[in-house]
Amino acid sequence: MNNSPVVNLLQQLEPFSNLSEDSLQKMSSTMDVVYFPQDSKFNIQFSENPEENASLYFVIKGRIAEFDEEGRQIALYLHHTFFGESVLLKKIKQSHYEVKEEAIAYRLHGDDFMEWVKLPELANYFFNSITDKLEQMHKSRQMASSSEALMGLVVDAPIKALNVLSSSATVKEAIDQMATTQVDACLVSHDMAGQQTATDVMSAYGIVTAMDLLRAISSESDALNQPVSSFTRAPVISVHHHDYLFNALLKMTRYYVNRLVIRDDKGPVAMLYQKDLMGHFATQSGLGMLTLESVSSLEEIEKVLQQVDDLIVNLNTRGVKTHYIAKLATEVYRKVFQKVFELLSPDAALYEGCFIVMGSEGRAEQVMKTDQDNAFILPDIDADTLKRIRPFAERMTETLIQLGFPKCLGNVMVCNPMWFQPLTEFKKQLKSWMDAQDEASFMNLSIFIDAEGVFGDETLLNDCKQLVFDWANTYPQFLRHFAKPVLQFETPVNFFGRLVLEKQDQQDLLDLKKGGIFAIVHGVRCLALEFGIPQANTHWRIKALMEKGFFSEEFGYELGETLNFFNTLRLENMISLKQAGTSEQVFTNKQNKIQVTHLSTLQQDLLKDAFDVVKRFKKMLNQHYKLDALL
Amino acid sequence: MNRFKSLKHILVRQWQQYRLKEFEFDFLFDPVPEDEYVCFDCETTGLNPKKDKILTLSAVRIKGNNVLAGESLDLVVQHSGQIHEDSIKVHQLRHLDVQGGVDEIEAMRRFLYFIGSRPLVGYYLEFDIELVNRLIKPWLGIALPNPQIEVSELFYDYQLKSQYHSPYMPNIDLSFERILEQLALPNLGQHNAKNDAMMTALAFLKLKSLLARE
Repeated sequence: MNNSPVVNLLQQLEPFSNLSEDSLQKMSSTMDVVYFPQDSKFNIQFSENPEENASLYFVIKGRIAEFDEEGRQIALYLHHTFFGESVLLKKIKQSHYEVKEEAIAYRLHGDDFMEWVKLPELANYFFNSITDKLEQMHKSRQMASSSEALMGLVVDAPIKALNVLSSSATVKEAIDQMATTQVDACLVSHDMAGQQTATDVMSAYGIVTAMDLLRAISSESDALNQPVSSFTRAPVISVHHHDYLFNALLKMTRYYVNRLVIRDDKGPVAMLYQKDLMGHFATQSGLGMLTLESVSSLEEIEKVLQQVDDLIVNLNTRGVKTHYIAKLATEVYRKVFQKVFELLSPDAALYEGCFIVMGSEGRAEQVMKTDQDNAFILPDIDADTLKRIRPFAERMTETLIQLGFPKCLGNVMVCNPMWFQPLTEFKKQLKSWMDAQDEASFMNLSIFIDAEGVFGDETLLNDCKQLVFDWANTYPQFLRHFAKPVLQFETPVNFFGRLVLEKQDQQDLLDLKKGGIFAIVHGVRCLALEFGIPQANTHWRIKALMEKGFFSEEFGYELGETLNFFNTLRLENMISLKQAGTSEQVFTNKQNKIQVTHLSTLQQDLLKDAFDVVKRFKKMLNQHYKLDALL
Repeated sequence: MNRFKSLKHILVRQWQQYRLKEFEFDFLFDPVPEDEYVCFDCETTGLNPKKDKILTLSAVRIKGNNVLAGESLDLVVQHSGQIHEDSIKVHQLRHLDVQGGVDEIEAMRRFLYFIGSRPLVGYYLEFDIELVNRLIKPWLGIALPNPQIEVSELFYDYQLKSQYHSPYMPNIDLSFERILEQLALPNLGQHNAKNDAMMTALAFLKLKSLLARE
């Protein structure tokens, strides 16, 4: 029998897609269909009248907006979404809706829903861990965007051709294939005659990337003639071609992959790369990333920066993960640095050096232009040359301040001679910091460990970093002291599970940086140092720690998502401060402090869960480095 | 004019109630529940209302803006005659598909209990009603007394209203597909009595809301 459209819809909808077809048939046979006239308003709440009682609605067509008690829109539901579960699960008493565009929805009665939700396939989703809840919030926020680029479908993205090889193909054939198609990954189909189940069209495939093959060749002498199937990995992370681009992006974050296989109902069809996707978003958002290549004056750079600011606000309201916004912004800022450098006609000696960004900029976690943290590692030059080029450093800092990159309060900028030194001197300085073990030294070290080269000779930077890694390896005691500040700030959740707030200007404020972000970032930084992880970005470090088995997969995801959540709140706070036109001073004071009363109940709940993750992480570090013994 | 019409209507209803042979079905004359309707559709052996018979009958209640599809009535009617070859092609009901159904009188009994006194909504309702009446008249002595709402008529009114500035009589296509298309309603499934009833119900709800706005 042909499936009804409602079964088809449910099969594509998390978490209902986890149910068997029989269950879905049964569920759909009890559903009603509801028509919502344009502009009508309604509430979801429990009621004696079965037609008005709370239910779960699946939107087939149209747009329905959800509002909180204060009348602020919190979500917009479109085709292939459902709503009403928060009332049904008694998370909130009542929710309010307005029909933005005439809508038709299937309706699963509340009583029926409560029966179905007892199944483990659904219970996991509806009574879930923080990661999933956050994911869900992102989804609802994603609904809040009517905007084209992110709500576009995967098929519309700049997708790449797909290489599919049979399991008997050799590594050489795979490499030839990649070279001809210019796509650096291949799918390899397994021989599973007759076993292929319709439930997962991707189960018959493994994936192999150019990197995997390079590794294979370097470790095995006759790898070229071996069957490529012995180097493949599974499962293949894929996305349906009718899914939203946004979900493709989410999947990439979730699984830390930078390519996705696109599938249709029958099997894989194409490849989607993260850089193409980001490029697609960037052009769709009206930002010409390429214009930076051709700018010839500071005024033009200023214009581009203004565009970036607008883009950040834009992307945030569309629900793009902060992690990605940061990546995009960082990319642009780094190009700006290089351009400024070139425009200031530097001395030849400077071209031999390495300009680095550090701290949050190095970690690529900076979103709005916060303080500059940068340095120049110079090649070993004589004192005269150094003296001659120093004025350039001052000009560079000055120009960047003019362009709106605020001055660093700790004076971590190239204009500071301490951060503008030849390699040998720079290394001496690092050594003295590691020896001194006082607060200021540790601060400088923390900033430096997150360094990334922007332009110039990166071997200089790697040389310095290696010094620190070696040191941490030789003196384990150093790491224990270095990690200590993780416990410095209390997590702002009290014994009774309530948020602890500070009063300031009659507002209840919560410092996200002290309470959460710092502990995660610094903790992960220490671990990265211990395990010799070269990446600077916290998410990449977490991923590396998961691969090394230090974090369980589940905890790693939770930690990453938690950091994302804090950063998103922080970004929103910054945006609203900026929009309110607050003075520089107030902005600096309040940029990390959010007003808890402005958060929705869901957000407040999530915040508590998030701090719980921070608490667990602190506990873990405490045990790992035996920090209690130090205090 | 309208008052005469409703007066006539009341008289007819009373006359019918008087003629009703089975007292059991007196509820057909109860007051109409507010904002409730029943939409129904039949698949038949052919297109001649004098000769052809009902194969399947589906009805859904409408309450407010809800189409209560979860509690629909879906009947397969047993019969011994031949199904016309052309109609097999349309609704894909073969002889074996309609075996094991209920007999005609039982089907009508369940149908009447389902609809109660609610107004009936349908697309070319006249045809379906005539088939039903042919079955219940000899048995109960009356035709269906329920008010009837013709969706194609509502659609015509709506089109006429939205195009009235035109000096010409508009040429309005009243095919079911065209109506759904014009109303931008998604098709919820394949062509069968239950789905057609549901789609007609949706078309009715949309037209009702559109006409109320004018």
